[in-house]
Amino acid sequence: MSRKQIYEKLADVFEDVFDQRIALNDRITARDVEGWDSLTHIILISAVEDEFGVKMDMKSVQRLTNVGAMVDLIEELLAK
Amino acid sequence: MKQYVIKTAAFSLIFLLLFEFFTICYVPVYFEDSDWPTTGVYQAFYSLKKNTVDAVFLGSSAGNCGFIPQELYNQYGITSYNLSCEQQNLISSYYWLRECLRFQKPKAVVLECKFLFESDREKLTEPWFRKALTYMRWSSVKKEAVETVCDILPDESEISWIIPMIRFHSRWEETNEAESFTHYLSMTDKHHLMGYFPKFTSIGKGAAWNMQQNGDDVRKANPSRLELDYLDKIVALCRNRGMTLILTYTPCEMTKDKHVFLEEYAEAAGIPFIDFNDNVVMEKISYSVSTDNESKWHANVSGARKLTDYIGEYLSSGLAMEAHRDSQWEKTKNAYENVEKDYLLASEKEPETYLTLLSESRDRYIVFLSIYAGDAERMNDRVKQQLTDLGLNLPLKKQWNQRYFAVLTKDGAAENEEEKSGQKLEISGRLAGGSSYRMESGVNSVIYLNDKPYSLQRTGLSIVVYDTYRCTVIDTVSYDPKSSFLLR
Amino acid sequence: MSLFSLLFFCAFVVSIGIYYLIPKKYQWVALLIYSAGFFYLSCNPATAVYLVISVISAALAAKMIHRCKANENDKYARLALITGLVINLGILAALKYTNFLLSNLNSLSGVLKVMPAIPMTEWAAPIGISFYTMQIIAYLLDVYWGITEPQNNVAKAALFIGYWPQLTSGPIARYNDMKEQLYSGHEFSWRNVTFGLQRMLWGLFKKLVLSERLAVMVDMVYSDTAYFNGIYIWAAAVMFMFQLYTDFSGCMDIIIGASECYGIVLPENFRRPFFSRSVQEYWQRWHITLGTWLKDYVLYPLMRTRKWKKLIQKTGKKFRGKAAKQIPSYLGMLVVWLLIGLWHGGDWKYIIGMGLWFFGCIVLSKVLDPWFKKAKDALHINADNGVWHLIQSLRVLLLVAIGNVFFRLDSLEAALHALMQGLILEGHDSYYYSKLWTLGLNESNRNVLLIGLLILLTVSLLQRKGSVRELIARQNIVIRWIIYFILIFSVIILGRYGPGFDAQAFIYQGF
Repeated sequence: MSRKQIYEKLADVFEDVFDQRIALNDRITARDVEGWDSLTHIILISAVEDEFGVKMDMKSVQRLTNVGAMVDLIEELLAK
Repeated sequence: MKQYVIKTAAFSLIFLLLFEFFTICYVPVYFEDSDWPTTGVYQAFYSLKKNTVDAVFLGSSAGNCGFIPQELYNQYGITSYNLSCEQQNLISSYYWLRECLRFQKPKAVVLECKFLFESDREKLTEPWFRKALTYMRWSSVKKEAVETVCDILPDESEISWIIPMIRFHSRWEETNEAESFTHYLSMTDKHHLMGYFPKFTSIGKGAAWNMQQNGDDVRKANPSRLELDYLDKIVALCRNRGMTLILTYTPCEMTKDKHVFLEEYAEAAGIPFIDFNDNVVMEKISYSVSTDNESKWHANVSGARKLTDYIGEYLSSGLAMEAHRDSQWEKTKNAYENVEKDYLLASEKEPETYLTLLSESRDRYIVFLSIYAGDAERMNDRVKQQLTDLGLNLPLKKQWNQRYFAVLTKDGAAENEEEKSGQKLEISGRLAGGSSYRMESGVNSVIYLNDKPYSLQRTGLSIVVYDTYRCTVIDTVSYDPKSSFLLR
Repeated sequence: MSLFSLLFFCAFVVSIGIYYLIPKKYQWVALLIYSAGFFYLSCNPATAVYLVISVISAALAAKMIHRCKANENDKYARLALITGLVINLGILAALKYTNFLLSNLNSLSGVLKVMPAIPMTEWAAPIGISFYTMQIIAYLLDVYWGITEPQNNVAKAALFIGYWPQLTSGPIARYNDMKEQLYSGHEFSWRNVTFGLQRMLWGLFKKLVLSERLAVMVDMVYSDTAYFNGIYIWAAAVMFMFQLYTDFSGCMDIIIGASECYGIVLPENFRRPFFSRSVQEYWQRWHITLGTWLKDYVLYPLMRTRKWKKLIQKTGKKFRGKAAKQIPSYLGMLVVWLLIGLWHGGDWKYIIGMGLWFFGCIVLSKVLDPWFKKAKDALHINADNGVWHLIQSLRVLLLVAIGNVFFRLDSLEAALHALMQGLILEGHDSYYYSKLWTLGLNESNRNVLLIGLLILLTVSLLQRKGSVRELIARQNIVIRWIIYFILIFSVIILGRYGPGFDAQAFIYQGF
């Protein structure tokens, strides 16, 4: 899957979780999205895992600082 | 690195200075202008040269005002110091004796032992220990004393004695720091009576009679166990150091049982006991409670002279203590002479003589006067002349119901008058040394010093005499021209 | 050993001196010895046995987990993990929660009359057990998840677990954040030591000057809620929040400041909590390390288990809409909040007041959020408006204050009773209100409190822009030293410590 495709799919997941369409880019963080707190974060992670069919471990989850890092991780997991 | 050391040192130094400043502001001090000058007494003690004291007095306030070291020196050439203080119990006496022995080698110890019978726990409280022991310098003796106090009083902590700020910092609420500090600075070396504190009034016949009645009441003498322990310690200490311990009891409400107890105790310990309540002793020194006691526990200047005289006789002939000269006691002669003059003044009943005495010491006094113009007119010419000499502007100008205030100092008089009837007049100011005064007019006008009322609030002429050397009020009288005597 | 005693301070200053005089590679040994000494003086030394068991079990378990994982032996790794967790949680549960269990059993059996009442235990717990146990759990899970490698030296592990500044009240630190700092040793830094001392001074100020005075007022109201009803209850509840804040954060300042003197940075536990706009945000600014611990080691692991994911699917099918998606997270939150309640103590008042109440506030605010938004738009309220922020903060303060009434009072009944008393808002005369302004303090003390709180507010406002200590450090030496001396002597003179009564007791009686 290309990075662009990942972004498109991710945008769908975000819309599902946050009930709003967000234009995603690498630098977006929780602070930029309304309603993205520690609770919805974990729901987001689960939704991403389901959507992409990957399993993120706790170590990686804790290192996610922004959307760009998330996309990197998805890429990495899909490659395996 | 060096700059850190310098910075730390400078910071610490400033901290210590500020800490000392606040300690002086908040730790309570008692000088000549308090009820009892405990702080002054102990500060002056430490300034004595070593090994110059022949005899030392210990005990409670009865001792503080009962024995005059200057008299002992003047009459018998024996140097002594009075380490008594208010509410000094035998525990504090013991530790002050130990402290004294670090600097002096007295041959005799005179212990006024009223507190032996103060057996209620009320007396063994923090304030009294603090008053007696705070001004002792830190040493192994003080450490031991503090440990004892902490054993007796469970709430006390040693650290609050090592660093008194811990105990007293909460006084910030009621202290004006500037006033407190300047008061300390101005009063700190004003004690020149070798531990003696003079009392000037007398209780009169009625109270004296009451005292004697209560004294005959046979009550069981109940010495406090703790105090008795420390009396034993004092006895042992004196014996070990070859000092003669003399137990005394100054004139008060003495009971037979107490006398018997002390007599037996003294005999068993092989030490003399002088009971000044004993009729034989009293007669020997011509002691009369009505004129020689200031209250039922305290002797006044006249009484103290007699008590001291008896002790002096005992020490010089009984113990063969030799007369000698010491410059420290020579220097303080003047201070005691002033006290004698003050006593003369405070016991004078005749107005003209009184005013003569006043003018003789006017360099030292500040006289507060309050008078009605009408009463001023009714005084005899001699009195009027004396008042004019003192600085009062006679004849007073206004009508008979006008009140006049005057503050007479050695530099001259400050006067004021009541403007119109019904309008209150108030004058106030500050004296050197920090005390404040205030005079208010009214039906009975009042003279306040440091917010304490001193005048007798009667009509006529009210006089309050303030001694600028000791910063304390010597006398307060009232004079009604209709009568021929001063009233106190 | 109280953090507020002169003895502690003198010992601490000496410890800094020794610390920087010894070679860097042995500094951690000094810290371990200090920690042992601190422990010995702070609680019953016999309880050290629990700490030792915890340390050894944690160190060994971590080693095992790591080795098993390296050998791809997941099953044994998990076994080691569970063993480590069970031992440590077991000790904590036994020492701190047995009585809670017993009292509930007794109530139950009292009703059912099944068996006689079991007497309460009086087992002493070592100091800091709630905190270091959590730190151990975090450590074991971090090793299991590969986030960090274990510490093979048992003594070094002991230092991480029992580091003395953390022993009284945390903060709860992560091994990853601590390992470099604790063991590598530090060069003497003037800045570290002076900044650390300044922070400790600030903490002392908050605790001794502010917190103790607030306590007088709060205690007065709660000592007689029958008389001090109505508005007093609410005033006391709010004042208690400030008392708790100045006390707890003051304590943190002393702890973090002390550690800073050694060059070791501990995580923050407070971040201007009363500036929060919502209860949820409040808990991200109050006792921060507790919150992040629960998030990382309870909430996330829980919500990523298979069972939970099945739950999400089930509810997703049953309910519609945004709320439906939130329900599983609410359940997760419920677990977290029950744990927060229980962590504060084994008593129903904590579970309900500190747990369920806040859970309710947060859930309610999330559910009502769309309506709030509509109302805000309708009233044209700008979210960045300072006044609006103030209103939100006051709302948060009040809600949090209510929950903490349960923390302050002795029992559930007492707290509920007090809150009921707070509803008696009528029938009072002006005399009744007159006490509100001083409440047990005299005027001087009340003024000190007000000025102190103003200073606190100012510092908090300044802190939003950066470090206040830096700000002061940039001023010239005269101003700096004036500030330091004012603070020092405020603590020494205005601090409420030492024998409580003032020297007015020095009355010459009767002679």
